[in-house]
Amino acid sequence: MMEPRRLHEESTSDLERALLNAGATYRCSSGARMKTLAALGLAGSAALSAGAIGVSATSLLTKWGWPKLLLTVAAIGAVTAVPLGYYVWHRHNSHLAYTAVTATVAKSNGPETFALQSENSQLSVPTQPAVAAAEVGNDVKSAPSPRVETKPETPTSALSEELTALDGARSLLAQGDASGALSRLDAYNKSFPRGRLQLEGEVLRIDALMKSGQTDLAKKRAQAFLSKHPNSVLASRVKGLL
Amino acid sequence: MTLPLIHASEQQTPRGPAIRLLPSPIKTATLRQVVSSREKDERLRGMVDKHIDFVARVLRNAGTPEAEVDDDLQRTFITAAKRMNDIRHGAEKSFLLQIALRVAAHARRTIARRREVQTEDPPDLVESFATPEQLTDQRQARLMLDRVLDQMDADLRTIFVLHEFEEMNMSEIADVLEIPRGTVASRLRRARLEFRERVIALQGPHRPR
Repeated sequence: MMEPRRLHEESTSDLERALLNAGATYRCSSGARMKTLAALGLAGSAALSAGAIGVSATSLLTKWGWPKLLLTVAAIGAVTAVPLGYYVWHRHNSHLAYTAVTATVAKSNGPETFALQSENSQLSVPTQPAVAAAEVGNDVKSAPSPRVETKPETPTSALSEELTALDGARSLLAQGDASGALSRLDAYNKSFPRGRLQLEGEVLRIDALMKSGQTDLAKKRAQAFLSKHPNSVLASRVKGLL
Repeated sequence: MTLPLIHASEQQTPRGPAIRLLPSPIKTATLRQVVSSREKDERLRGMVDKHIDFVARVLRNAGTPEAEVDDDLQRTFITAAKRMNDIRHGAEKSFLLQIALRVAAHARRTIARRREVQTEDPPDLVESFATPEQLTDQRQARLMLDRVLDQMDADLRTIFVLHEFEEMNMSEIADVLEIPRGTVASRLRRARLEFRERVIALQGPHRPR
């Protein structure tokens, strides 16, 4: 029995050839490959082997072309630069804040301790950054420097004041004084209408409302929070409160 | 990988039995399981790397809709992973092909059931896709191919796909489908005839004379 030739080889119709070509050149996407490996439990580091990356890169290049690919890389760079910049800024500020704390404590302990702690401050990491930062606000206010007394509007001091206000509300709530906590939160909202810890404050408020017996209002606010910030890291906390 | 089964404790020395240097049989068995599992993973990964495009193409051409290819790819490879011990070395491709054909057949049946529920027919492609300019468009060619293949009988379609797109010869197809070679030849003839007739029908008034 003779083996017939492929239709693609013997066809004279453009349409036939186009259709046969479409069928023969179908390829799965790199996403499908990754999903399959993940489904098989093989999507570890080895799944992103050089070969696989090479294949993906080649297919992307073919699909998108150089200009689109460069634009995508630039966009990814821009997106990662923002949080990275914030992280560097935050690190710098928290380091300054921590140095201020150790300096304040050391001054009260004498010059020898100050020298020792100044050396260590670069190596040691504060175990409770929130508390340390809150202390910074208090210590900086009580420090003898005239500049500090004039309440400078630096981001660090504003943030630490926010933290202090919220910590006050939190400690009252922990002591069972839910209405006191709510008053503190009202004061916080007044002082920092566009504060950076507004979401944290809202979660505390929901908690305080629940504990003060205003369950309906708490649920209402919680649902509003969840619908507005479904992907927030605080969302799980809010869900836990309900 | 074959692990040694001889234990040092079985060897005698002038001072008595040798200290057991090798792991106990239980530990050896565990180690063998780990190695075996790793080997399986490597083999499976190799199958994915080597055959995923082939499997995707078979699924797509045999009737899996585009939107479901990803899921059916996973189904195919998961089934293969469960039966790794049954796959002969060197026969991975044909094993995957058999699974993919079954998965695609299931997809076709699901579509048929959906069509029974949804009375609305898909839009007729004949008029909208028949201009010569559109012939060069791969995506539209794909849609037209789907239309042609969907109208074929499942048995004819499978043989047509394997012969025309996967370039398998009639003996290979006969082996995979476990049918006589003569049956493959006659079905292939009919499939090609149907394909050509349907493509001519697609061309409609724009058909070159």
